[in-house]
Amino acid sequence: MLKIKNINKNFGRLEVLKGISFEIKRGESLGLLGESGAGKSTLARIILGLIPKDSGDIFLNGQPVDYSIRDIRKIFQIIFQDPYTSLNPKIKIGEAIGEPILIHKILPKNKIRQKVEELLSLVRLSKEHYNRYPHELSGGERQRVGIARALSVGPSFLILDEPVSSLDLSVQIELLDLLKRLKDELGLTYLLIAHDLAVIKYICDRVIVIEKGEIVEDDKVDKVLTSPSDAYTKKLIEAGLG
Amino acid sequence: MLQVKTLSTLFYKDDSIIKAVDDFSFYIEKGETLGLLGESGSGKSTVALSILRLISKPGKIVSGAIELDGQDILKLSDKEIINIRGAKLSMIFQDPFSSLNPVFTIGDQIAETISLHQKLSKKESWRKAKEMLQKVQIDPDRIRNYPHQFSGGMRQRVMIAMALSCQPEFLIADEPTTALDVTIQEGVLKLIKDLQRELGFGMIFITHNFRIAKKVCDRFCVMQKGKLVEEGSQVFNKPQKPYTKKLVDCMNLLYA
Ligand SMILES: Nc1ncnc2c1ncn2[C@@H]1O[C@H](COP(=O)(O)OP(=O)(O)O)[C@@H](O)[C@H]1O
Ligand SMILES: Nc1ncnc2c1ncn2[C@@H]1O[C@H](COP(=O)(O)OP(=O)(O)O)[C@@H](O)[C@H]1O
Ligand SMILES: [Mg+2]
Ligand SMILES: [Mg+2]
Repeated sequence: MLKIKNINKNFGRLEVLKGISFEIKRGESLGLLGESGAGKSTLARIILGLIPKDSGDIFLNGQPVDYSIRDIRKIFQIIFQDPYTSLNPKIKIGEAIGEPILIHKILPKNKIRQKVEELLSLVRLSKEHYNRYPHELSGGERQRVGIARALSVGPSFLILDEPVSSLDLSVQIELLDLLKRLKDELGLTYLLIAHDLAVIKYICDRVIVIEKGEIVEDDKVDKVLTSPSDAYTKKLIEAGLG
Repeated sequence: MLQVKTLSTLFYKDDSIIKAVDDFSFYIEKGETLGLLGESGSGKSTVALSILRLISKPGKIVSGAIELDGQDILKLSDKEIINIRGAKLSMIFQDPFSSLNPVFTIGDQIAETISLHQKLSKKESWRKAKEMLQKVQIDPDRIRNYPHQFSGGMRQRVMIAMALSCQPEFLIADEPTTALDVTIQEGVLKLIKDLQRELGFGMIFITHNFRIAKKVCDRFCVMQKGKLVEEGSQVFNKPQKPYTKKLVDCMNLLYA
């Protein structure tokens, strides 16, 4: 579905991404594992078209992705780590979820409320959450709102950038279970970014390990766990699961 | 021994009162590591700050006693508590950046703690500070560097050097590795444990991370909404309360 080819990105003199190449098949959950500063979020922002790349190509179903069209947002969506800063504190939850539907003119105005209620139920929030403000929700609930908002435009591909990193363990599991279910129900494709291998192991079949802007491993999760080919990966596994 | 007895600490908000710590009791002996475990907001940091008497408005310790070798810290004068803080009782925080002063060198900061509590000359304090840096595996020649010249993991080592510079009886470590990368976490945890073996302090290890707590601690207190749920060393092998069991199950599900 998505093919990334030889992506390079510098910030000033800092080489953040060095020749990144990989593919994601439709319906796959690919994990992207790396420590902070490795370049994971930069890569996510490039795939989404939020920042330009210096060189390299991105193909969607064989065609180079045209980031100038607004409809690209109907295909790629992102969930960020901190559900608090990614929601406007002054906007009600229901309206925040409906906003992309309005912007992309996906439904007439009078149909939006019903769609938002469907989305709330899809992420296991209740109708009564519609009129709440972000600060009236827990971290896990806010992250569900972020997911509902991302799904509102019917994307097929979700980039999840450390979606559970700031949450408590029991809430992490709830959200990961939700993400698993949504993927099956809606036939989504995931790129799940994490610094915790356990989170990737819970959801993904395949994992890419990125160290200082370079891919050092790309294989089935089971394979990587039992016999990592790279020394850095080995260190990450020992520290993260030991 | 450090004993916290029926401690209650409240935060007074405009329209409500938060019982951050609610009738909470535990003890810790020198040399042992007690894990204070709970999800975020359960009151762990408030316990820590209460023990050091660092609770300020809108918070207030409303009842209980905190006895260090039989003496109630809550009854001490402000001057007396300053003598204990950093000396007999010491603390390291989650974020090593905000707890170091950016405008002073790390040497200044470690030496100041030392000279405050030990009647040593400036020269002696600096010599001691260098010794502490060596203990936390930082090149003593970097003593005149500023906090921003160190990585996160190294800053946490500096904090550890400072916290241990006066040989405390008890160290409170509040999420000391939460802000660090996993590969860095391990080194810091090992360092803390090695130093504990060498220096013999008791440690209250505060974390929401059950996986790390299991590795580091001898005994645990599980906290929920300010209250003690379960205490003992059985928490991971034989949890007694449904809440503890749920959290341990989550951990096993994710990290098994
Ligand atoms: N807008 C930017 N300007 C300059 N440097 C940046 C910018 N965004 C990210 N960086 C740097 O790029 C590197 C990779 O960052 P990032 O992609 O956020 O890493 P990760 O998500 O893996 O933690 C870091 O060193 C970061 O400081
Ligand atoms: N300075 C403060 N003002 C108001 N409420 C506070 C303050 N500090 C903590 N609280 C509240 O006290 C409760 C316990 O917080 P805390 O001790 O920080 O929990 P933990 O460290 O377990 O995450 C929370 O409900 C928190 O919102
Ligand atoms: Mg990132
Ligand atoms: Mg805390």
